[in-house]
Amino acid sequence: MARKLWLILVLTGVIHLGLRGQNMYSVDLINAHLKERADATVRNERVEIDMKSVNDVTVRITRAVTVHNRSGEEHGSIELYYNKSRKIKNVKGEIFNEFGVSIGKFSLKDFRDRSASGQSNLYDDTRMKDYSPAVYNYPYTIVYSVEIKENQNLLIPSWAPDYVYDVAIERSSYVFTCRPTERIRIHQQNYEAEAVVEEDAKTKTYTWELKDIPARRSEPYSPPRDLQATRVRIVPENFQYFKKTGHFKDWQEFGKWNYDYLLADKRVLPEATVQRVKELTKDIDSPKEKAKALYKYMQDKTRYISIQVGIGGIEPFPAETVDRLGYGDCKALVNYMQSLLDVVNIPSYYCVVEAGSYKRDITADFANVSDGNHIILCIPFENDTTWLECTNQQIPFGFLSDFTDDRLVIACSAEGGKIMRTPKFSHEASLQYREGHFNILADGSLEGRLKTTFSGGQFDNHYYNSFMNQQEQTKNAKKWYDIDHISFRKIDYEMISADKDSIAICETLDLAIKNYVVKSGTHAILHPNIFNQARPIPATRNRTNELYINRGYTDIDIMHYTLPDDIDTSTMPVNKRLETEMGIYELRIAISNGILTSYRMIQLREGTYPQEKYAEFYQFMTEIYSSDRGKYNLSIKKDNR
Amino acid sequence: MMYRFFALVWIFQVLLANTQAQTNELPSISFRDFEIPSSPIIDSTSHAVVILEKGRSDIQVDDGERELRVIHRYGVRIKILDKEGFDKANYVIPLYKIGNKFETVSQIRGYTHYIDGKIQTVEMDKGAIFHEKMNEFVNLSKFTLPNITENCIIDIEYEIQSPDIFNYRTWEYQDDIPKLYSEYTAIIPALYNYNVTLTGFYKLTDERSRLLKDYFLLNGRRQDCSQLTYIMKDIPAFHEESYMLAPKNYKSAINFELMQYYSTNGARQNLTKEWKDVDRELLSNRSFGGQINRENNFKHILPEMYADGDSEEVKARKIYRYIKNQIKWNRIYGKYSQFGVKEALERRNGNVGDINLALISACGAAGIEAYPVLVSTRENGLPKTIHPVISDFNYLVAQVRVNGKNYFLDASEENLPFGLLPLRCINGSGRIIYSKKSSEWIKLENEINASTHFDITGNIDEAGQFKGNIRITYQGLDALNHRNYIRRFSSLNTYIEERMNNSANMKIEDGDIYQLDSLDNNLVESYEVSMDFSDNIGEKNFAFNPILINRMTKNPFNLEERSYPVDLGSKQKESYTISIQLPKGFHIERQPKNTALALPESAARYTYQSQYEEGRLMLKQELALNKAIYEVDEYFHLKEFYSRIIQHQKVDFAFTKK
Repeated sequence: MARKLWLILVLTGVIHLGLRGQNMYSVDLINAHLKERADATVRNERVEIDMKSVNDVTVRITRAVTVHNRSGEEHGSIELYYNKSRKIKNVKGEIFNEFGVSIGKFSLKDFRDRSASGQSNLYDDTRMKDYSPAVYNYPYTIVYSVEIKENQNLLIPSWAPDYVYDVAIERSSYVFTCRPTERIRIHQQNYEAEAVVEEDAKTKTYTWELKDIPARRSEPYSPPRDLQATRVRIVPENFQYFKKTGHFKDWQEFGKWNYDYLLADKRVLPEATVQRVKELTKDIDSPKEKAKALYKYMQDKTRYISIQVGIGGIEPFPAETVDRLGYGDCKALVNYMQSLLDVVNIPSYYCVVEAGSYKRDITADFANVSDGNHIILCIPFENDTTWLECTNQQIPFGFLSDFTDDRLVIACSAEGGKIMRTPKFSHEASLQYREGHFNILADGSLEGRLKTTFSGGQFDNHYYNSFMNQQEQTKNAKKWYDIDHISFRKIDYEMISADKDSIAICETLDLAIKNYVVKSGTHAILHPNIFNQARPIPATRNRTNELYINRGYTDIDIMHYTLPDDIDTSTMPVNKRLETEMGIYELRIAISNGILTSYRMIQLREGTYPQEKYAEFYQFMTEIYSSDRGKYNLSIKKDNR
Repeated sequence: MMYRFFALVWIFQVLLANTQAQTNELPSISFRDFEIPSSPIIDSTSHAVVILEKGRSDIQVDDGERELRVIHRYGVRIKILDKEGFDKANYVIPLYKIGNKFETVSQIRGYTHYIDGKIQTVEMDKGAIFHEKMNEFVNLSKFTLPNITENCIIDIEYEIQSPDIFNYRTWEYQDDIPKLYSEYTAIIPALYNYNVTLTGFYKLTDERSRLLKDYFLLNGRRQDCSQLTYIMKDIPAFHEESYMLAPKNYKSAINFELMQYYSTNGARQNLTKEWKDVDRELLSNRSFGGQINRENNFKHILPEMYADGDSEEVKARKIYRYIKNQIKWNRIYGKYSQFGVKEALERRNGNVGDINLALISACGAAGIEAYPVLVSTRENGLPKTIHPVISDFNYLVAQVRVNGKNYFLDASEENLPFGLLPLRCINGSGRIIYSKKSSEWIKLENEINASTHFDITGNIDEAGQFKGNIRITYQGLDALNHRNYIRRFSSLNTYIEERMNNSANMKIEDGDIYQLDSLDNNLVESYEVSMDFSDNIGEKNFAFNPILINRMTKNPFNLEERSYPVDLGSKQKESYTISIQLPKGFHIERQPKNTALALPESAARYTYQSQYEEGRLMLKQELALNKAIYEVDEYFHLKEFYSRIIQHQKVDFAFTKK
């Protein structure tokens, strides 16, 4: 009897499992609002981290994702990175069709293995394994589990379940387990509740969970997603990383650790170079001028080569190596520049920054190593803090560009870490001022000179062209001023000011445009604003995000056209002004003394505005789009027709 | 093919080798090298120049492995002229997998020479070389040279050991920087007979050959070798232009193909053969003809594909659709089958070879005439037509013949209609293989032109508000491109929404897409639109341009100089039919002239004709490019032609009220 019962139990168990297996991943089970606008739906995701000790961390990820259409394919593929401190132990997966019926299984041997170097790195010792299911009938569901072993605990995988656009979430959880005595720091962003904590004698477990999140779509002019998304990060106070141990609980201590363990002993220069530096600076009094001379020396001597080896890409090559080889990555070059400054006793800070055109701060209240992807140098001259980008051989002394401007960075030195903000140019100071004087010839062609001064944040719009040869300069000019039949007789660049606060460069173009003015019977048609036309921006209906303008600027374009004698100059002037909270636009066209003058000004103010403002901004930009392309119909005098 | 060659190597039973490793020494450096040479090939676009480049390929016996291998030695001296040329100091050597072995590299040396009072030379550290497994087919050796400054000179030397003894590498004379001197030496056992061809515009400066008596020991017998040296001097840099075929069709290079060899018993073996040999070989190959013959793969599923009563053409269409749905393309090209038709059908995934061989096989099973066509894709370069070079082809399509009409078919591309080739296949001629005894060249072109037609109708009211409909019809490759684009969106609604969001000053109220899935018909988009012309309208006058969308403002042909033909891939047409009702009482005051422009021999035509009757403006515009390929001297005709069109489209219609 007992035996029989056992059999029944097993049988029902099987049936039960079978049913469950069939239905569990059926797409019908997804709530309608989690399918709407979603390319993929995360059915269930669990990121589990088990930190046994500083060098024994197990990461287990189980994930079930339904891919609804082709655009969702990327969310169904798996990319796993590994390196010396991170090993992929095990991967198992299965794919289910629309009805939740299994159509195939996969494991680690089905993954492709390749280098993670990519194009921009000469070398990176990280590798990647990836897998994309060869399923082309949508929807389908991919279910997998991954186990990763880390022998470091400084970079604990964070949890950002709703970061990606167009993906809905049924359920996602993040579980962190460690010894109850372990001190960890937790950073929660956009997570309303507190973690659920369970503790027993041996372990302490923290759990975060998110359920029922509809897909978000990406909208133009949206604030950076990383500020909007839910994110939980964990950093243990005591850590091990690539066999180095350490401890920090705030940025101050982080900076100190960074300096002591990764930087301190790396600034020794060969004696010959020390002598050279002394020689170079011996006749210069002001520290700033000394720094400038050394910056030029560094720029001339080195070039940027990205090599990411060793301590997880955070330890620079010693200065001596850069001195010998003449190249290095951002860390090595900043460190090298620091060693040059050391010789003449100018203190400097090694600064970690998140680089990119989108401004992103390091998290001020949470010290961690994953913030930041680039290193720049800060020289704290009194009342004249100066910042140096060391990976660019052409950038002027003290200019940062939109790659690292206006954001919080962490400055590391022997005294520890310090949060600093990089400089910014106001929307008025980021000025592109263009003035053109042209003659319109009898055949409708146009000839003249166009001068543009780029300053502040717009300084480097065309700056790099000044280093190009004539053929390439012309090619670029054609790209920027893409007008049919334009030709350039002369292209010239002149630095107006190399000082970081008033930095400016002037571009002078001698140009001609054949058949510029079109004659049609009694009229001549002229487009007064041709060199700077706003592009249209998309209308986003039912906007969900705030309006975010990353960087403000001012453009002024003044064009003077000397008209041929046969043109009747008694035409109606144009006087247009649009003003919104986000910016101003002006267009004025008038004729006096046979000269048609077009004045166009656009000014955008950076900032974050409520989502309702987007409609107004769209209206504003669309009107500018039309006005910029306006034509001016001039009548030809009777006797010349 | 490859595997067979290896088998041959084993038959040779290689015993010993004699050749001594020798380095490809570049001459010693002197001050003279630092003077920027005055040469017409060095112009203002040059950031670096190759002073000297030498290569030498030599067959050797690998004692350890007891097999033959080719040693390619390479040395180059580059002068870096400015900072933009610093990239030349970053060097990557790709090493390919040949059969089941990778090529290897050794003796990598790098030197940087610069002047600091006297000539200073720095050698690259051995530790500066990184070896990387890029993927399962390619390894990379990467390095960068130390102390790079403007006007420095770099020397790079290395040696590649390759198991691929039957294919000497192509030597490329032309690169993206100019070269003053480039020399290649091939040492070839007299047993082998290579066909050596030079491609590109430039001629060899010198060519030398020498007999090396008893140079090489093979099978216990001393063999003579030919030492062939090819020199080219003053080779300009190659600059790529838009609308051109693959650069490799035009770059100067020297290519080696093994034609025949003598086995040690004196028997001659032909490798590069006549087409009839190739035809037989291909059709007997397991991954080619072997896959076509497997008609029984399909016999039992044919009833699923079509009904017995269907006409031949309907059957062919249904088979084409069936194969497309059954086997998804894995994005890999190939003239051979990767998995085999049977496995591809099971896994529902395969390369181009699998898919199109399956298609041919299924047609065969259904009694429809279908033949494989070997294709070299556009980026792969034009195939040589003097004699068969199988390795030139990298793709395979089908041609079916129904009711006396021929259709090219490629079932790899989801959105491709019956009878159309994708742009990647439009590249000179392909080779159609009819039987083991017969094949011929066949021009790869599409009968249907690429065309887009805009149909605009609507009314403008007293307040200057336009309301109307825009209907866009796409045909041929235009339809394919647009279908592919629409398919990238998660749904039709998101696509239409995207269109609505990005229509600038035109407001799209509603939209519909027709025949997205009906591939054999034109793709049609239709939008209800409104537009605001209130700025253009006054009490007494009104001016506007009725070409509401896609007005031409930029000239696609804006080069001052052109070196290579323009290849558009197909004939093209863009046309407009416009009919717009204006508010009452307006009379036409001036208008763009009715125009007809044409290039010589009707190579391109543009017509513009308008009419204004009873308050309705009607306009027909048509732009036809009647050739797929325009020669270099036609470039400037095209440029001027487009410029005139742009001028013409700038002119508005102007109306007044009396």
